[in-house]
Amino acid sequence: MLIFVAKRVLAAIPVLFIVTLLAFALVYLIPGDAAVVAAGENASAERIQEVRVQMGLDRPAIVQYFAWMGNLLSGDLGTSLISGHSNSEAMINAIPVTLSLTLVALAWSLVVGSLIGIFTGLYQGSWIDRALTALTTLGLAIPSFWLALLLVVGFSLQMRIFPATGYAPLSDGVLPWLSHLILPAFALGTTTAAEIARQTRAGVVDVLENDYIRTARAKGLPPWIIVGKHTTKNAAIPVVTVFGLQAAALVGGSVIIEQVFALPGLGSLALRSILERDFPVIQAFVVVVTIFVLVINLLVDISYAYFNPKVRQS
Amino acid sequence: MRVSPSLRAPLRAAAVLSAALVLASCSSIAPDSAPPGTDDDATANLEATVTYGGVVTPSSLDPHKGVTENDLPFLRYIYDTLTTVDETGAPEPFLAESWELAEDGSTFTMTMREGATFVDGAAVDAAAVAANFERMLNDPDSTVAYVLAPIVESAEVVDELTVQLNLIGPGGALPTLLASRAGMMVSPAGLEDPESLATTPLGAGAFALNNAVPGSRYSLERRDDYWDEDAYRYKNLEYLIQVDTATRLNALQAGESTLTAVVGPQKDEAEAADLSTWQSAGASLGFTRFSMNTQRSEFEDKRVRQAMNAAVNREQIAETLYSGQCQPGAQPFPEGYFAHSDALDDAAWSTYDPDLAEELLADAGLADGFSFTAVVPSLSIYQNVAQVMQSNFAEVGITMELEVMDATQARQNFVNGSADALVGTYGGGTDPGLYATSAYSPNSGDNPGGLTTPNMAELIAGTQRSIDIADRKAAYEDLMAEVFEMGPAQIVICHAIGVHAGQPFVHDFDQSGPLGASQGMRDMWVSQ
Repeated sequence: MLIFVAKRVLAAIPVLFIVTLLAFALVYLIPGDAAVVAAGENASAERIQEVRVQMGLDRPAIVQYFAWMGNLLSGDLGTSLISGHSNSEAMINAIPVTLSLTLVALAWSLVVGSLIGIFTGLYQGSWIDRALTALTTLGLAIPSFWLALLLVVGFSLQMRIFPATGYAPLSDGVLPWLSHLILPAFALGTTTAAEIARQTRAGVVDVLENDYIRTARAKGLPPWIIVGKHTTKNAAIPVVTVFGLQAAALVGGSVIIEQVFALPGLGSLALRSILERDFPVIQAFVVVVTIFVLVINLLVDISYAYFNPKVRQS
Repeated sequence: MRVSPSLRAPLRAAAVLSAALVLASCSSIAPDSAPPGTDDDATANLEATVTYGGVVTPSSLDPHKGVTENDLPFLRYIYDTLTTVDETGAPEPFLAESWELAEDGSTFTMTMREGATFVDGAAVDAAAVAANFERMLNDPDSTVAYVLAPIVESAEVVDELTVQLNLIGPGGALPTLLASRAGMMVSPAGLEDPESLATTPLGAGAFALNNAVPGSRYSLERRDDYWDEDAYRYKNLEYLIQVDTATRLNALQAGESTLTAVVGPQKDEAEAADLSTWQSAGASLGFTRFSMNTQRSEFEDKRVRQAMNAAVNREQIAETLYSGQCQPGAQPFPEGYFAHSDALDDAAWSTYDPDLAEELLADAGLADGFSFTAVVPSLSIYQNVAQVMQSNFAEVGITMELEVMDATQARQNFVNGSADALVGTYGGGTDPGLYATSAYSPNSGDNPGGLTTPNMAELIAGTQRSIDIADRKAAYEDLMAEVFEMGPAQIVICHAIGVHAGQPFVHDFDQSGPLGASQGMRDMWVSQ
């Protein structure tokens, strides 16, 4: 297993390198540069060029890339062109917020999605299967930002149960932390829960038709052992795949949800830096998110090996 | 991306929401009515925490290195300026108690307020002010050097509280310029460690920054030793960054904030939720505009520019897209502001008159109209304004193609001369000269076509010769007369009208004057 994990980690290194290259190239494809923003609102073309030189943006791209990579390898994510703040500090402030939001969203969507999927798979064709399948269709179709606004109106403004905006760090206590995350995590994780429910249902239906399940039933095994031991584990592989993909997608989805709930996470930071053409922050964001996705993929690969020993051997 | 010429009704709501991003930081001129629900028996809670829902993240906490005027509302809590301005834009004492421009215009001498200190306890004296000017003028990263360098050569200490600026340009605008970023003084300790200012601001303002999560939350505490004990009668200020307009109102309705800017129908929504609202009676210095490159398309001809002014239905834009919270007008400075020309008859430019527009186009030999392409930032408010104008122009035979793109790229394309026209906004500032120079001087940022007149440079300089506000007003009247005789290359659409909503226990909030909500926050108090 250790060799398997080591191979996957080594395989991630060239991916990370290629992503840094692409991220750097993409930044140059974005029209306009930070000098236009930094030069101020009424700046002339000459003034913008002066500022461009001051900021070092006139240097060849390759020089800027290697300077950035050199700093990156020494653990320095750079400094914001606009605010002068350390990007590492900005990331340290933002990562816990987005990580909290994503983890809570993943947790509830995994639990609820799996339960719905197993239930509908076991009772396929029943009225409750059809009702829950319709619900998951709704979950897939509903835009997260719209759901977020509805949740705020209902649970914050009308019932006053949860805060409408803001974030409380875990150091303030578990309850304040969770109360600020429930609504955004619910809005963010709805599509994921629906997707997991769909995949779990399909997996369960598929597994239930296998001979070994028929054999287990014929042996007289109790239903909870048939479901718990023989069905869910074998139905889990496609679910894990979806889970991995959704985990990465949730980071992207957090950009909008963080705006609606005024959460100071990576999404807010990324949006602001893109609008300001603050390249070093954009690049730091891409590196951090890439590492996050690579870690998720690694965990998914490891879980494949757990669920299916053939993967381990290959 | 090209958009066909049509009006789209559903755009209205989106336009109003987007307007907050663009115009929320703008200020207002005329006084407002008292807030509803004011309790005459209420007393100020000096230990209160006020939570303000802000829009813009400060680009830097170092006032001499920030890049946008949108920073200033926040920075004013931390950094007092040398001067301030009243509701008409006239300068008033602040850190500087008095000032004098030498008769020959060679020096500008300020006497500092006795007893004012920086947050670290250092005195705001002549030496500190001179050191600040030294930095603003000579630091290669200074973003205020371009404002000061054409006027000030150096600063020297006369005595403990008197500082003299040695001038190389007309100094009449200094009292209004110093009410803005260029007048924000940094403690000498901060000047010695300038890198730290980006995160640890050291100003002479009423508040000390205790904690900051950049882009999210700034926690400030009022200084006990602040020189003006009547200002900011509350203990703590939590400044939240809430970019989304709906989020800001949600936070207010949920009781999570005390006060925030609202736009369009949000005012009615706030009132329906038993919140107080304040709308300024006059317009702000910020405005929506349509800029033309006079070396492109048919814009070199004054008759064409005038025709386009007459073709634009400003009232329709103000009512439809801004819910009436925008005051139509053709002049760049609103009524009530000292630089507005009361003497100028601008009716032929400001009145919606499609017939006149067609006549002018026929006179210019363009009876069959003409086509051009305007670059439009991808924010919905700009697109909506552009589409209404597109429809207006189509009525008189002008075809306006829209090229929607990122805001920075749109601005860049216009400034470098590769775009015919640009739809956008102007944020305003405490000195009108910055706009005049940018819009009417050749090859400046807002005038890539170089449209000017032989007298223009002299007239702009004339607005900066005297510190007497009556003299400056007269000079601006002359300048505006020349501008409209020339035919400006910018169509001013309407000036924003600021609106705030807050909790019913907020008292004496008045966003009048060019400083807008910043002044309101200074004067207000809360009873809970």
